[in-house]
Amino acid sequence: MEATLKNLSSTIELLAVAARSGDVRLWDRQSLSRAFHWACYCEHLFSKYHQNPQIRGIMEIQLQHTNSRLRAVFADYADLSFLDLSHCQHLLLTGLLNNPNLPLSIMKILFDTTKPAHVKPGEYQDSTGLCSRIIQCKSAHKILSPLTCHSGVSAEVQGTFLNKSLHTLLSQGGEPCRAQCFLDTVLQGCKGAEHFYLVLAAALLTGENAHAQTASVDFLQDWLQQNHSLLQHMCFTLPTSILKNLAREHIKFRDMYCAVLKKWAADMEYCVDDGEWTQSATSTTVSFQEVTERFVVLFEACPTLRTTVEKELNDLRISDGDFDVRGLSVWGDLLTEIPYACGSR
Amino acid sequence: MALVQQTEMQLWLDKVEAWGQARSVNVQKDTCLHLCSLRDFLQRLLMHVDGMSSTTETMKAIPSLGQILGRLCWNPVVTADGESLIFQCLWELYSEHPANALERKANQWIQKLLCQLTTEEDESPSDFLLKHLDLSPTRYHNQVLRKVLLLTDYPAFVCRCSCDRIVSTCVACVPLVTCPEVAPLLGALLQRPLTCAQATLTNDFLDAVSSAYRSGSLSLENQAVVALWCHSLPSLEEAMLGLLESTVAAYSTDVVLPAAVTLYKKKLTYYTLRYNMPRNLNIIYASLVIGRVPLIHSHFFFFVPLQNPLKAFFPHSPPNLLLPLLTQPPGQCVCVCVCVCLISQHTIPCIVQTRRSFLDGVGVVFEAWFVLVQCSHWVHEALRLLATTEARDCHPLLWLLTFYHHPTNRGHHRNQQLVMLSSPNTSLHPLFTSFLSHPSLTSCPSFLPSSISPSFLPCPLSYHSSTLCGNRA
Repeated sequence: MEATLKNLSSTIELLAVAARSGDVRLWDRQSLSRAFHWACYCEHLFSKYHQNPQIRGIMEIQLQHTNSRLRAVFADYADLSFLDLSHCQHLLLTGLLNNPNLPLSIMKILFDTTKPAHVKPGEYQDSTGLCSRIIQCKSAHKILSPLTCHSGVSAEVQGTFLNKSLHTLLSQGGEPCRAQCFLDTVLQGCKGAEHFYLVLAAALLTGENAHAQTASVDFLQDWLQQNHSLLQHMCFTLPTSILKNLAREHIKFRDMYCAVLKKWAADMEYCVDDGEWTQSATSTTVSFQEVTERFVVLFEACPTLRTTVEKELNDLRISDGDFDVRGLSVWGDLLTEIPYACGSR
Repeated sequence: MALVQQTEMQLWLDKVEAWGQARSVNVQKDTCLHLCSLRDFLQRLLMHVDGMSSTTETMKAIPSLGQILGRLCWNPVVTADGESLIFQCLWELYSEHPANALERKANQWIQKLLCQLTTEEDESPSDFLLKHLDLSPTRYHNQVLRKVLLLTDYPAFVCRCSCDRIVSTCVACVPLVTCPEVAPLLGALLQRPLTCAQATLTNDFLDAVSSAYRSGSLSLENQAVVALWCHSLPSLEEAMLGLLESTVAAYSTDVVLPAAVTLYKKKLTYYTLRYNMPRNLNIIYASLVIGRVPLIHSHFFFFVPLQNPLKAFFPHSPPNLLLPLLTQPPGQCVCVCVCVCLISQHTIPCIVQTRRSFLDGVGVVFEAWFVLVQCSHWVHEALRLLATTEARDCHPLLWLLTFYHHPTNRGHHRNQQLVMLSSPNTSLHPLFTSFLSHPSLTSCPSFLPSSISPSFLPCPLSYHSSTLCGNRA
C-alpha cells in the first residue's frame, strides 16, 4: 500500500509539472508515453478502490498532503480530489495543452494524424495522435448527426453513464445517501442547463429495459420527486415527445407529471379583461391551452389514466362550486376543453 | 507567390468565411464537395510557407493565412479528414524559438486553438458531467459517434434506403474514410445492391475509400473490399498488382506456398470480378507471374470449391471448355487434345479478335490469357501437337504459344512473329517426326512431363529439345 500511495503522489506531482512547469520543454515521446501510463495507473486505482471507503480515505489523506506540497510550489495550483483520479489522462492532456512551455515536438505527437489506430474500449490508448482522434470523433459526430434526424445523442450517452454511475453507487453495498449526494453535486454543476434535463430523461429511458438498473431508475425518480422545482423545470423544458415516452415507460413519472400539470392549472387565474387563464404564482409561463394539450398528450401515452384524472378534475370542479360557466373554475374549463382537443388531434 | 496566388487566397478566404463552422447540412455538403480542391490548396500553401524563413515573413507575405486556418479548424469536414493538412499548416506557423511579439502571439494562438478544439464541449454542462460520470472525453466521443452510426441504420442500407439518403451519406463520408468507427458504414454503402441509377456511389466517395484502403488507414471486411473492387476497377487493379508483386517477391524462397495461400485467403474472391489488368501488367513480371498463377488457382479452388458458377469468374469464355479444364487436374483431363485444338483454332483468337471496344477488350483478352495460364497443361499439349501435327496445320498452335507469352500483343507484332516462327518450325518438323518415330520413344505416352511449367523456358522449341535430351540420357 505504501508503494501505491507513493506512486499516487508522484503521479499527482507529474500532472502538476505537466500543466505548470517549464520542465515539459525537455519531454520527448518516451516521457509523454510514460506520463500517460502513470495517469492511466491512477485511473485504475480509482476504479479499484472508489467503492472501498477505507482505502479511499487513506488515498484522500495522501492527496491532501500532496496537494498542500504542490500549493507551496505552484501559486496557481488547484487541488485534485479522489474523483479527479477517474479522468487523470484527460487532466494530463488538458494540462499539457494549456502549458505555454509545451514543445512543438510533443504537440506534433499528440496531433499526429498518420496513425489512426483503432482502440477497443478498456484498452490502453497510446498518446500518439490522441488529440487528433478526439477531434476526428467530434467532427464525425457533427457530420453524421444530420443524417440521422435525431438530436440529443450526446445527452443519451451521458444519460446512460449517469444511470451506470447511480447503479454502481447503489448496487455495491453503497448507501443511498452517497447516490443522493452524487445527484445533488451533478445538479449543482448543471443547474439551469436545458441539456441536463435531456440527460436525466435519457437516464430514465435507457435504464428501462435492464432489470439490474431498475433500482437506479427508481432512485432517480424519487430524487426528482423530492426536487419539485427541478421536476417542474424539467417538464416545462423537455419536448412533449420525450415526456410522453417517460410517462409511458414509468408510472411514477406519469403520476409526477400529472401532478405538475395539475399544479400549473391550480396556479392559474382568470383574467376577465383578456378572457384567458394565466399563470400567477410560478415562474413557468405555461398557457391554459398548453396545459390542455399536455393533458391530451399524457392521455394518449396512458389511456387508462384519462378516466381517473377526469374524475379528479371533476371533483375539483365541484369543490370550486360546481359551476358550468367559463372562467369560474379552471378544472371545469379544462374538462370542457380536453375532449375538444382530443377530437381535433 | 508562385505556389499560391493572392487572388486564390482571397477566394478561399471568402469561401471559408461563408462556410463558418459548417453547422448546416448544405454547408457541410459544399465543404465535402470542395474537399479535394481544398486539400490541393493546403498542400501548395504548405509548400509555400515551408519556403519562408520565419513566421514573421509568412505573416507579412500572407496576412490572411491565420484567418483561413483558424476558420477551417472549426469546420468539422476539414478536421474530420484523417489526412488533414490543417495541423501541418499550423506547425509551419509555430516558431520553436519566437524572435518577436508577433511570433509569440502566433504560438499562443495556435496552442489555444488546438486546446479548444480538443477539450471544449458543445453543450455547456458536458465538461462537468463527464468529470462526474467517470467518462473520459475520448471514450465519450467514441460512444457518441457509435450511437450516431447506429442511428444512421446503416445495416439496412444493404436492403433498403432512399436514393437521396445514399447520395448524401456518400458525400458526408468522404472526409470520414480514415475514421475507424465509420468503417462499418462505408462497408454497408459499398455492399448495397445497385437498385437505382440515381443512388450510385459517387466517384469522390470511391476514390476516397480506395485511397484510404490502399494507404492502410482504412480497414474493411473482406466482403466490403470485394464490393469496393466491384465499384472501382482501378482499386482492384492496384490490389491485384500488389498481390502479384508480393507473390513474385516471395518466389525464390521456401515460403512461397504458404505466402500464396495467405494472400489468397485475403484476396480470395477477386476472381469473381472482371479484369482490367493487362494494360498495367509489367512485362518483367510476366514469366514469374505465369509460373505462380496455376498454384494460386489451385488454392483458390481449394478455398472456394465452385461456390460461384464458373461463368461468374470467366464471363467471356465458353462454359463447355471451362468446366473440365478448370476443375480437373491435368492428368485426368480426357479431352485435352480436343480442347487445345478447339481453343487454339477458335475460341481464344475469336475472343481476342472480336472484342468490341478497347476497355471491354482488355478484360476479355486478359480473361482468355488467364484461363490459358492457369491451365498450363494446355500449352504442354500444344507443344506436343506442334511436334506431331502436319506443319501446314501448325498455325493455330503457334498462335496459341505466341499469345501465351505475349498476351497484350503490344509491341510484339504477333503476326510478324508467327511468320518468323513458322519457317524454323517447318524446317524442324521432319526432325521431330524422325525422333518421334524412334522405337525408344514410341512407348512413352507423353514425353513432356506435365509437372514442368513451360513458363520456365524461353521458347517452346528449346524446351522441346532439352526435354528430349533429358529423356534420352
